[in-house]
Amino acid sequence: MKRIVQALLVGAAVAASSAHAEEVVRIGTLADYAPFEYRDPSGQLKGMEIELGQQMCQHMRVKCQWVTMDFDALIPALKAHKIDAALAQMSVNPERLKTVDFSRIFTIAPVQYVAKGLTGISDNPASLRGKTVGVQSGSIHESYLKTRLPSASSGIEMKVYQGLDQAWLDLQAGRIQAVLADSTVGLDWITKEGRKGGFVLVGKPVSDPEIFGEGTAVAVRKGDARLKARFDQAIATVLGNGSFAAVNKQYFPFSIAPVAAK
Amino acid sequence: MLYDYLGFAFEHGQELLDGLWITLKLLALSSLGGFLLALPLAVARVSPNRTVAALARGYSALFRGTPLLVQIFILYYGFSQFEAVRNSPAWFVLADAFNCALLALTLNIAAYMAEDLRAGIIGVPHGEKEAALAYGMGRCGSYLHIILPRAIGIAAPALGNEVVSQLKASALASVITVLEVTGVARRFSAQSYSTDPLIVAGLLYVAVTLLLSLLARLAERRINCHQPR
Repeated sequence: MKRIVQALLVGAAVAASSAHAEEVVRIGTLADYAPFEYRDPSGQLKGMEIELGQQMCQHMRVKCQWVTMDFDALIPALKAHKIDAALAQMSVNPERLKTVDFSRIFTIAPVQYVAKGLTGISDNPASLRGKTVGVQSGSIHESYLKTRLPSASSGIEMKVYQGLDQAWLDLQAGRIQAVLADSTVGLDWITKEGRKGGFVLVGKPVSDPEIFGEGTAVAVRKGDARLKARFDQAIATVLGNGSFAAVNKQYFPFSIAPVAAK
Repeated sequence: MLYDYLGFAFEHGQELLDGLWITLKLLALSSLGGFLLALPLAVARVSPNRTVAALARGYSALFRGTPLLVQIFILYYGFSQFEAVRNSPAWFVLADAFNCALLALTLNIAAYMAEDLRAGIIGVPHGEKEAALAYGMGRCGSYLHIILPRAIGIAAPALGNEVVSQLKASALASVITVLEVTGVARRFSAQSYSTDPLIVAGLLYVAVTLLLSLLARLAERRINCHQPR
């Protein structure tokens, strides 16, 4: 009898320790930000950052649990310990650094207007006077329009959407005349959908390092140095061993890897 | 803590007031429009003509049987995808987010109010209906002068309740970019990464609800002033 109890106890202890060994990291992301993260028709999470995120989790030897939400809910969810990290093309800028910490830069993210071609709309603010521009709530694009081109002085109306999907629908419907977004996501939408309606990336990419930052990274809770270090390491690994470039090629004809030697 | 909320309310007072104004406009216009639409719907519901009654029942099933959020999405994002709709006169209304929200809220509350009024019509004592006929009033006259005024009195508490529900339902307008109280609060919340603005919005809703209940009680008393209590 004693032996049996002992055996059971040892068995339970082994089971407990192996369960403990698999640490879970909850990563917040989006469900409507193709081609970086999106749900396919069967409900499966897909995309460039999901693929690379899985690989990074393997390098970190943790189990990743993806949690989807609206973009503007990511930082509050981090603060509230609902998630441990956010991987959703979040640009590193001084404003966000006040609230969260970021890993090393993961991708670059140029910003550009999407509008109908041949309408005269470009990156020149004067061409947008009297027009309405759609942006995603909580994005750097919203901050940019609000601080650099407030409607009172620029004459540009801003419309804020919970998800970028809704902004595309309104762009097609003609309720808004342009969308300010990452060129990458803009290009993906144009290729899949917008081209039919004559939508293109217009003008040059908009540059504003103060607001747009140097690129996107993984956000972690302020002071979570341990997880930040692990993501730094994992990002260095996927950038260095060629997996980033391989996945990048499947999604974009150009590289969005951060400029080397950083 | 309290200081945070007050600080936020003062700092962004103007935007919050603008939001509150939009919320109140949505509430007042949709409740009024819904009520006016509900009157004929309720009469149709109890009509002896089967086709008319079935049409009214269908309307009610459609709007009470689907979530308001879905109705708002279909009106705003759904219809706008069709070129034909965008080229039709309906686009004058549907192009604007506020109008879409107002339309959805109006059609929706009309369905609920029609049910309340139908119950009110059924609840009018038979003697009063017969008295109207005895005075030589036709169907139109008896509805206009006797049945509907009494039915409104009977349904008044339920109607007041619908208006209070409608206040909260109007928050859904924020999903199609209308900057009413919830929309404004969500935007500030997204900027400050905190839930404080949402709590302030909640307090605003409570305050308006209290005011609405008070108004509803006064209105009930006025409508039913001839009733012995």
